[in-house]
Amino acid sequence: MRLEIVREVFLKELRETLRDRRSLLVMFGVPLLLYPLLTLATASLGTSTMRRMSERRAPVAVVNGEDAPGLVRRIERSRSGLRLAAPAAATDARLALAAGRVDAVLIVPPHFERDALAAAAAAAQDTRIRVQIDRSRTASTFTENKINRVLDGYERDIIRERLRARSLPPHLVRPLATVTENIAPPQRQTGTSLSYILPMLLLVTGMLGAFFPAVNATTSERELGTLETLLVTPARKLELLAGKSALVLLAGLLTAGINLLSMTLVFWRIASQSPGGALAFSLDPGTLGLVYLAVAPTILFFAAAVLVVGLFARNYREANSYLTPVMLLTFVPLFVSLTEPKTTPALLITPTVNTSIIIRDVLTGQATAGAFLLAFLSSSLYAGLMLSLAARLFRTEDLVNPAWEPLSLKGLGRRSKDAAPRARRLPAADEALMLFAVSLALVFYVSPSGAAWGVLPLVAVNELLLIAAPALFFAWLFRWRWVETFAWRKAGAREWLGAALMGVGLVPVVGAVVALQGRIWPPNPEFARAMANLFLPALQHNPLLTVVGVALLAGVCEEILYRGPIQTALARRLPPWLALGVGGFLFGAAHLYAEGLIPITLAGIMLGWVVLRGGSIFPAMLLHFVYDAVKLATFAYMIRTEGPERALQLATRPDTAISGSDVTYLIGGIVLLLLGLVLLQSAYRNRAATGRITSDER
Amino acid sequence: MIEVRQLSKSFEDPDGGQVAAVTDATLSCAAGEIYGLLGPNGAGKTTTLRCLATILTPTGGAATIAGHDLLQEPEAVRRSIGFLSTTTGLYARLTPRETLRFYGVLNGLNKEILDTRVEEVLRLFDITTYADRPNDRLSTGMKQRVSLARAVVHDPPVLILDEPTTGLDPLVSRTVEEAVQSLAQGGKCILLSTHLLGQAEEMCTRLGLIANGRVVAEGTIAELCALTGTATLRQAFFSLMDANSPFPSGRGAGGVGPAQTGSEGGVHAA
Repeated sequence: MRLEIVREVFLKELRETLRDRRSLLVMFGVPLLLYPLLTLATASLGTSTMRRMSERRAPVAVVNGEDAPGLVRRIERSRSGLRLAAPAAATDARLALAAGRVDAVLIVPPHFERDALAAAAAAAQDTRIRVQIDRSRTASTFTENKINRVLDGYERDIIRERLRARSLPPHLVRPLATVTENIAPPQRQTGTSLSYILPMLLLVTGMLGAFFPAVNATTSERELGTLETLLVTPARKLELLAGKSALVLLAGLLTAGINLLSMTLVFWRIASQSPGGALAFSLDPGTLGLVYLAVAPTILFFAAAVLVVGLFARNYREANSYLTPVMLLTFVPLFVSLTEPKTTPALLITPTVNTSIIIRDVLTGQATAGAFLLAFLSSSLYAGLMLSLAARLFRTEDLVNPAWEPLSLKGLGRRSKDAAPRARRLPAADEALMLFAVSLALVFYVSPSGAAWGVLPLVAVNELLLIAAPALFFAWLFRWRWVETFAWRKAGAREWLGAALMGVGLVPVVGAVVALQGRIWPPNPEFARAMANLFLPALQHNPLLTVVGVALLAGVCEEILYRGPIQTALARRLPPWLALGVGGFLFGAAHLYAEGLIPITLAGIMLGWVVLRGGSIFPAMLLHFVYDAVKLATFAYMIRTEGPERALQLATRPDTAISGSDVTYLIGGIVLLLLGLVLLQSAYRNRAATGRITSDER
Repeated sequence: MIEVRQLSKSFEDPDGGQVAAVTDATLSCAAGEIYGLLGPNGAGKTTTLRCLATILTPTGGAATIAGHDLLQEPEAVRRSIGFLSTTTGLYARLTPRETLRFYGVLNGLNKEILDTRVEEVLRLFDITTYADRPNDRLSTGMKQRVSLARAVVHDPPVLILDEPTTGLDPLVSRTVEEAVQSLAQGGKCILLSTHLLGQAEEMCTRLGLIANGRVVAEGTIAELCALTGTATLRQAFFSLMDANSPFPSGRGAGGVGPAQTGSEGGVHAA
């Protein structure tokens, strides 16, 4: 990397950005002017309204006030914040209330005070004072509070009189005295409320700040055709991208920084004006620095995402529309912080959520160095990954091809009747991802309704209709080549045997991965319990059918979808290892179960490898079947020998302890896995000629 | 200066198949020569030039430019070429002087010679008077001059020009053509593509006729006429195009050597 070139590209981008009014406005104008003004305006408006409402003496009408002279006296005191409107009949008073001439109407029952003092309320008579208010008016809350205070006082008056009449001391009816103390220091209160909005605001502004420079650095270059002229200079693509992304990232960081600063100043201004420090403001520069440091890698992540958006887009309009979904991601922290979650390692490594959590902890003075570092490093990793995605995109020569549409659904185009039938083809990556999304959405929405059907019908509907059927439907719709897309090729005896051995061996290995994961990421037993409860009755009454049925459905249908079109499409676009990784991840994610993500992804990678390497989906189906069958059979066996209660307990205990027998099983599993692997490899080597999908069909 | 042997480039089409944009293109161009790649729209001219400019990676064949191998030393190739097409724009918010300086640094010009070279090129293309005005406030003719100046700011021995006058009015076209001719007289090796027969006739020392991704004939205008048995470049062009049409019309000479291989290939341009 030659720094003088990176510097020159950076300076060129900077020059263009500084001469672009739109980007200057977003970077400096909005935070420095608009939003202090807006905040001050709304704040002062709010404060003055509040003051007016509470200081005003609200007009109330009292119907039949002569029967409650004590009450009327209390209302007439200036402290009450109320004033008596002309006494009227009940109907007139109600009309006055509806018309807004009075804020409330109090209706006193006949002889109220006399009866109350005598403590002789006749059972048949209505002795309640009715308070009528109009809650659609803002003032009603204030008036209601004032009336309640007056009524409380009136009630105390009556009780005092009653006690005096019976020669009893007044404290007799007040056995309890309470004082409420707020132990949260002001910093924590301000911090909590700030932590809801601050991460989102910083991310959104950072992203907006990065947007115009990013579009200028990528989309505009494509649109103008200047990208070609850059690419024919001896400058390397990485140098060009380094200079460009440096400015984009800097613009994002700078914009967010200016926003943070400006917002702090606005806060300080408001707090310093509020009487008696009602808005206690005690954020020191150190805390703000930490907040900025915490959010910086995530801003970089989003700025890099904007860069990716810019590279995908062919023009400004497209860039704008691609930006919207990315922008929505910045709202995730807001929703998460509203649920006030505990700080866990899992949350600290969850993209964008970790930022919001750590900012909350910093603002409320609860952050630990370890948690901060974990969030910071994981966010930096995601930012790095996003940048490397931008670099990959920038290296593709399709970038200079104006017809290149990485985000398109061309395959859906309509054709005239006369046109020759479209040739059958292989699935494209975007189609496969759409298929994944469709199947996932179906499972997400439909399968919870089937919980009451029992295990086998539920699994059958899930696997056949929601997983396999969409894959087959897409294949028919897009005219995919059946044999290649689904890897329907014969497999030899050695492959079958190898796959079966691997399926058995995988059980303890996955178990060990789950146990290992449980040590760093405490598992949630709820899910395991729900699953065990779902399977328990079926395995108890119909063990053989359930084990075979469920494993067969899952093995066949899930392989059809995940090792069929999804993997085939990914393998056409990505290098084999990445295709396997992404395919495995999708497979893991589709199980909609956070703790299963890593083990299922690993299993998915292994299944993917079997299909990619061997060119046949059937051994993978067998492997999948055997794995599921062994797991279910183990559970069924436990139910039979230990009884359902104990089996349920065993199945849902936190899987973190590793005993001696576990180690034995693990070693056995690894041996079986390796044995299966060797068998498969030897089979593949035997027929190396009929080979791999990736290299042949790309 | 430019030697191209059996260069091929195919793209993946959305249906998963392969589309050949250029097949076995072979041509050569010496210093001081203007070689014209002549062909209809979609014939593969732009793809060929983009391959030679290292923007696209060829899927077959080989080429050397100014003595550097296209595939082995792409960076050295890029150092020795200047590239321009009419679709190339200029950075709207930079001035011509800033544009030239930027491309000068990117092309590896030293700090010591950068300023003198930029001033020299500004004078050469008569840009000095508006050198500090933003590019988006220049007229089309001025812009095209700046683009040309941008392409030669590092004084490359080879120029690759993709339809350098398409979409320009005759006056601006003439300015560009004159500038290109004077560059050739200065010893540059110039490869340009065009679909304008008149321009090819006036400017080019030699021509390669390209149809359906194949160079179907190569030579001076006289040689092309002799090959097809015609009197003018216009007649020679249509004769060769008809012979190489993927939809034979029955017209045309049809007897030219390379043309027959072309029609047999059955390759369809995108």
